[in-house]
Amino acid sequence: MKNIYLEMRWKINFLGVVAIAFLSILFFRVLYIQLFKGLDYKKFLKKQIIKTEEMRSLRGSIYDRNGEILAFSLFRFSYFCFPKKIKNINEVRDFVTRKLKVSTADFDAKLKKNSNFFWIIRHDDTEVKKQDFPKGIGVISEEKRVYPSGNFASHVLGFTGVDNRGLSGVEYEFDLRLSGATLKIKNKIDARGRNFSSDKIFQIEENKSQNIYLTIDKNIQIIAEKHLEGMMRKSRSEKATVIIQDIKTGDILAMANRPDFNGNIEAKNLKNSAITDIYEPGSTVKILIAGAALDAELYSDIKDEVYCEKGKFKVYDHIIEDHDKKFENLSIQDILIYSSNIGMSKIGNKMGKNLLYKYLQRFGFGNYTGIELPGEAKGLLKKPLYWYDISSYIVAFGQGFGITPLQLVIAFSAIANNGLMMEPHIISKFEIDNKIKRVDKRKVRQILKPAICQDLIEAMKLVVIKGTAPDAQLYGYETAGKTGTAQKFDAKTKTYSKTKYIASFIGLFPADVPRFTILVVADSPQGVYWGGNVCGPVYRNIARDLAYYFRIPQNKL
Amino acid sequence: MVCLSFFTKNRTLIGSFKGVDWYLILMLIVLSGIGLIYLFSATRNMSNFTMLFSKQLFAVFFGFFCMFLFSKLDYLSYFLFAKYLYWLGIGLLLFVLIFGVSVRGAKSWLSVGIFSFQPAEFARFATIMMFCVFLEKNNRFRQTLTNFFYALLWMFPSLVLILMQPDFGAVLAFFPVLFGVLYVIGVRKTYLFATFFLIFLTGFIPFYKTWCMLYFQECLPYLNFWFLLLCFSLTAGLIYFAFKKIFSRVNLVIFIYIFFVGLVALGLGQLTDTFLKDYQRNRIMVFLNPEIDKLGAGYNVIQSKIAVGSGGAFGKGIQEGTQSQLGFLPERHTDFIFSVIAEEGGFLVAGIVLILFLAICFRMFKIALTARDRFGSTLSTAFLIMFAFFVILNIGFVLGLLPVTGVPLPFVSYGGSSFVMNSIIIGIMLNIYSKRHAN
Repeated sequence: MKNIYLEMRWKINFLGVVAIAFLSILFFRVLYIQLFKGLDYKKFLKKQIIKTEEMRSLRGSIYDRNGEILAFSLFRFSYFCFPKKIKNINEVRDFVTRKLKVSTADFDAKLKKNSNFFWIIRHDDTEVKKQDFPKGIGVISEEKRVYPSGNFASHVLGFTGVDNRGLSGVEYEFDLRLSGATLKIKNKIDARGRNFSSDKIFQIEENKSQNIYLTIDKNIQIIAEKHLEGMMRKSRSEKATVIIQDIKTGDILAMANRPDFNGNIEAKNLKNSAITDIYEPGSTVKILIAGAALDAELYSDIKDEVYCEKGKFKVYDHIIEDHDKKFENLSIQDILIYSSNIGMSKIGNKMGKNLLYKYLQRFGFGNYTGIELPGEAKGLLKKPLYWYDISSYIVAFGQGFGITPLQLVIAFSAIANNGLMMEPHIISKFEIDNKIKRVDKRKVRQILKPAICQDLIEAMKLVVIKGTAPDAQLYGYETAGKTGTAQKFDAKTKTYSKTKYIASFIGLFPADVPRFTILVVADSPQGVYWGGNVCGPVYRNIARDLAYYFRIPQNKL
Repeated sequence: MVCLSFFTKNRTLIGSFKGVDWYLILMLIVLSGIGLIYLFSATRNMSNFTMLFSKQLFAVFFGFFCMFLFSKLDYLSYFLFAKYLYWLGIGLLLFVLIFGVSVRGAKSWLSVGIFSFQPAEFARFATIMMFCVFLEKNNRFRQTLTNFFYALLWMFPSLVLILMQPDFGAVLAFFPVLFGVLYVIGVRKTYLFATFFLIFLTGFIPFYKTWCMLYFQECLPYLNFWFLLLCFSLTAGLIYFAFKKIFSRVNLVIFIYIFFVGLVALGLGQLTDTFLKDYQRNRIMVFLNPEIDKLGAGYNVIQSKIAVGSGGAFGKGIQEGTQSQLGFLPERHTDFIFSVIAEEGGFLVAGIVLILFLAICFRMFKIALTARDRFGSTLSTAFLIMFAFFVILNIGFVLGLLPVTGVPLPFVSYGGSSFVMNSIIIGIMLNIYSKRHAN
């Protein structure tokens, strides 16, 4: 008996130890969870008891430089339908056709396709009283972006998607600034998601309401678009671009492309050719290269003469020709006036690859201009190491490298600005909570000596008077410019196309005291393809309208 | 040996206070005090707060009264009572199956006026009592197989009846008590082992199948009874031959015997698996991987862990716990009361509660060791195991260490039946303690 009892004691001891061991495990587990893992669980907790609600104000507006409104948002009504909740289908049909002006066929087609939910009409401006709604139809007010002038400056402004996020242009680039004031309200919620206390609300204003003022002048843009449209109709080009820049400040006053789109309706032809298209500039760069040659002191004066081989110049199995006349000796100025390829190729060869490359870079080619628009291209400018032997000849008259229209404009503005290059801008100021923040005008660099610039302007004046662009002459004003006609490079045949050209004209206005640089580019015009003939008149018309607009007095009779 | 006196002979006031385990009583008072405070906090925002809390308050006082009463009742008198208690328990269980109130799919409540109680609590107590009494009475035959089977037979009816309610959590406590008591009494180890093997395998197969459902969906069709049988036979055969190679002489009879137990267990396991309710299956799945159903079956465990963890060292203060007050914590006044304590009281109070449980277990263990006779020891051990098992199971699932089984935390959770039955158990143990030096 006693022995058995002893044995039992031992067994009870064992069981007791097991029970106490288990309890100790729990004790240490609690200790671990609470003291060592406590912070992790507190994080979990925060996640589930705090609900963040976002409240947004309307998207900011976009204005032109004078405060004319170009894009704004407003609330519109979107009507939706829950097919399952419809009680009386005839009543619903009646409501849809009478009040919402949607055809029954449209409505029925949607009804057939969607069984749970569909929009009957979005962003509509008809307002219906709450009590008139039949069962199964509802309404919410949604934000709608409006571009009051339709196609106007569409590439610059861009457009927004259904969710009111900018998808191109300034709308995209400054989406965060424009997206309106965001108010984040943090509330504590209980397990059913209800706010349980009104006093413990945290409000954080995350974004401020901002409006954007462009450097675009609505009137100048209208002028540009009007004449661009006229040119498109006349020349039946595939694409065309006009850029007008203020020389002193670097502000882009107008930037227009064709084909364009209407941001209110649809989004196609989104490409902003003025900054994304890379093309071979052709003769327009001759001015710059000549300037570079003078700046490098390879020639002492713009009157220095170059032998022009009587219209045919053979370099490495490649024949460089002049357009129509056969020249013998031409001064640099004359080379520019008559746009002689041979003369330029000789200048180019004299400069050599490295010097050419150095100056092209200095003119801003092969690099971003820094304009505040999305999708800007750098252009194509290879390092001299990768140039062909012939490159130094052909680069001088604008082949063998690619630039964007905007880059050319900036380089010419710099010449007109006595060689001082200004940073281009499309934004003039931001309005943040009614406070104005201006965008700084910054100098980039001095690209050429001022004296050389004056010579170049003089040469450009003569181009219009007696050179390749007689159509660009404007009665009563001094005009200056340079034509360009470049054969398009055909990627299929890997040669220069015989039928497709890029015609361009870049001009300064007024030429005596330059204020504006105007670039007109027409891609693949049909019929006459010469830059002077296609684009010259556009320059002239724009210049005339600018003169009227700014009341520039006539100084030449 | 059998003493029939109902109350102790020493009826003087001083005498009745002598030999009482005051530590145990004090600890219980502190524990129920803490329990009441956090119950108050947990139920304060409920619509029927006054009703709930006053009921619990009544249960606490009634429980302590019962404790006092039973501490005065000589435990040897259960030799006489046990049978009646047992049949009363069975009767109540049958009654509840017919007339019981169904709460969330389980018919386990019997309502009398404004009170409702769980007969399973009482039946469990009575069954364990009867079990111990039977073993004590037939101590001479403790090593025989028939005695062993009879002992199990006493357990069986109430076990089945409670499972029919169904109240899985209430049944679970039977098994550790069964094994513990049989082990302490000194039943043959082979029987014990075989039973354990049986129950373990029965329980293991649903777990194993659920695990396969989770991670090896594609091999599920092959996991039928015959496949498992094949595996089992092959394993057994291999082990047999291995033993034969090593020891050269193996008792084939015992081997065959274990093999057949295994077969029965396999069959039982398959049976349990097919009868497993969907919510039970989900609980097992969630135990194996809580992340699969964060908002469903895994929700409780995750929220409970967040509550415990976010309590930190000193807690958030009474009625300040976000988990319990904002309704994230389910069953916060019953099964998950410990999470509320840990959240609002922090490790400070949760630790105190755990240490109290440890100390109470330790006192009970002491009582089991110092009891005057074998019956006292056995009974104390049975109660100790039951008590400890509930504590471990409850806090275990609160901390996500064990699958969720709806068992209350003794002396802390809301629930009158549980509180009173636990008090009675402690009362009996106090009586055993006070008799330790008699004769």
